[in-house]
Amino acid sequence: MEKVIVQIKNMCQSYGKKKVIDDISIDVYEGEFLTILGPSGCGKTTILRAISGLDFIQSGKIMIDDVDVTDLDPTKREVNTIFQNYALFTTMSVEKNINFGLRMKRVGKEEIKKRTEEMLDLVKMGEFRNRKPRELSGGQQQRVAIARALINRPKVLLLDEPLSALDQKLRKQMQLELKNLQKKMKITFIYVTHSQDEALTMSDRIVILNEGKIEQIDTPHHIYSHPKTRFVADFIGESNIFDGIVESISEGQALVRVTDDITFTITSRGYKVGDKVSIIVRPENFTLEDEENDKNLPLKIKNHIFDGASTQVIGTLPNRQEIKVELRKGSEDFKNRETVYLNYQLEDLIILKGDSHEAV
Amino acid sequence: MKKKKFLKNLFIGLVLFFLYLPILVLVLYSFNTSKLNILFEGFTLKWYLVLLENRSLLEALGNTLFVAVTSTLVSTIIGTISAIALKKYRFFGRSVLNELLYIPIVIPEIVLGIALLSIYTFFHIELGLHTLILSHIAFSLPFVVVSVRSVLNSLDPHLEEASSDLGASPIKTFFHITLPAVMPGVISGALLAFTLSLDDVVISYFTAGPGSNTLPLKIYSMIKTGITPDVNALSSLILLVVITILTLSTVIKIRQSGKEKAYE
Repeated sequence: MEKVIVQIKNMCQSYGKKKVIDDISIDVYEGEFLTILGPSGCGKTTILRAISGLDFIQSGKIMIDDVDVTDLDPTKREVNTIFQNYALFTTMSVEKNINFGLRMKRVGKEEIKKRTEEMLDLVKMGEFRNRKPRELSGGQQQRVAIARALINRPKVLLLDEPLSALDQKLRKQMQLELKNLQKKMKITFIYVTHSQDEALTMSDRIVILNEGKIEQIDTPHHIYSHPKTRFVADFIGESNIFDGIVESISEGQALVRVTDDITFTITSRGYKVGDKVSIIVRPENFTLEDEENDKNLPLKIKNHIFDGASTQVIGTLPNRQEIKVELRKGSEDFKNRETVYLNYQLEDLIILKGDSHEAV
Repeated sequence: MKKKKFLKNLFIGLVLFFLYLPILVLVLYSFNTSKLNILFEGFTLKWYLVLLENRSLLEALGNTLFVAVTSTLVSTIIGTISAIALKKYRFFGRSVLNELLYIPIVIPEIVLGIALLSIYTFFHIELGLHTLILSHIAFSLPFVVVSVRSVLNSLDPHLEEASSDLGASPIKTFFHITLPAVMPGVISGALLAFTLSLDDVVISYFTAGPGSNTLPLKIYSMIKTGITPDVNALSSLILLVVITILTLSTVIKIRQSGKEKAYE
């Protein structure tokens, strides 16, 4: 995981007056599964198109395997793309689709035959080799698209929301297949999606993109447990967010006032009285208690949602803020109570310093 | 229920009868022993033999086919390329050009005929087969463009990108991906151009010169002296060819859609 295979340096891109990508730099390591995650319109596809060469960038530099490809044609870059709707060639059979790249590069007949068979085997499409794309199911079309890209032995495979056209069940299955394929072939994947679920399950690292800027690059675990910005905390997983002001500091702990009735005690890391902070609590990090004490907060229960593996409790604080709590399996579910008390562990709180929206 | 079905069939029957009666009469009279298209006197094949000896009629047929094939080829090639360029590239005047294309389709043929004639006169171009071909290219070109464009608009815009992503040069992409994908539009555009050229009277009337008489013009001029039954014979033969081609293309279409359905 040391070698950098794709390097994006200070890339900027705008369409008309709108700045789509604003000074982005990313290093992608050889063999990793990197996901670019963000809401629609954040510029993630633009990055992919810049790497593949389908769009040239306005400023910055793109290196693939230590070669500067910034001004190179897509035909000359050793990367391949899987498009959102697969873009299979409708007039060609599965087999012809798969070996299209090799035929264009005038690879020898024997070689083409051998590699086509390998790919048909890899994606288990041998028996459908003579079918046309429209005669295939969505999942099968997806496999052909994968084989058509991988047969060229690209240094990097670019995937642009490849699962978005599939139904829920198939999507889950293809997530696993893709991940296994990536491990088996040891090819670098750069995967673009707006689904945090896909990003968290498949990736080695995730780039969180928002309005053309990188919010955070990290492992899925770290992004979940240590979001660096409010956007990341809100976008990945569910969050209860409280904005408050540091009221007093004593013995390494700071008292943060959110409203007249609500205060949090947090571990102080060099805060000053008057600092604005945001406190983020994941639903599973709240605990519910029977009795009121001077630390916990009263919660009026509105709903219990049981989904098999866990129970979600939705309620409101005295300031009417809605709170989500996820109860661990086996814990008391407080089903018959109207009011319970919220408690938390100091180390489970995620604290962002208010104005900068940067984590501290 | 039964009565309803009967009425429905009767209606369809009447419509078909109305549509095809004139054609049937034409075919029938091509086998008529009488020289006049008034009474059917008896069956004969002699008009088909007379036709083979009618030099001027066969020459007109030859001209018609030559003009139709040439103008179809040229207008299909230019039209296909234009449609792709209009779709793919952004250039100055693109939207105006897009709209201008419809003008030759909607203006009366007689206007186009006069316009073409005056431009040939202006440039002192002698009328002949070449002016006929040029004129036919001019009026069939927009039909090809429109036909190809409708297919282009329904095409996945990522197809060409996928092709270049897989290492195909723009030229290879055109011949391997774009052209096969728009082929249905190209073919229907070409068929349209061919049929338009084949039976054009008005524009040809203005732009044909001596020695470049086409079949429709020839038949049109025969009205004054009376149409001979060998014209019926020729028309019947043309009909036979057209019907055969139509049947073939329909059979192919049905087979294809049947194949697709089997997988759904």
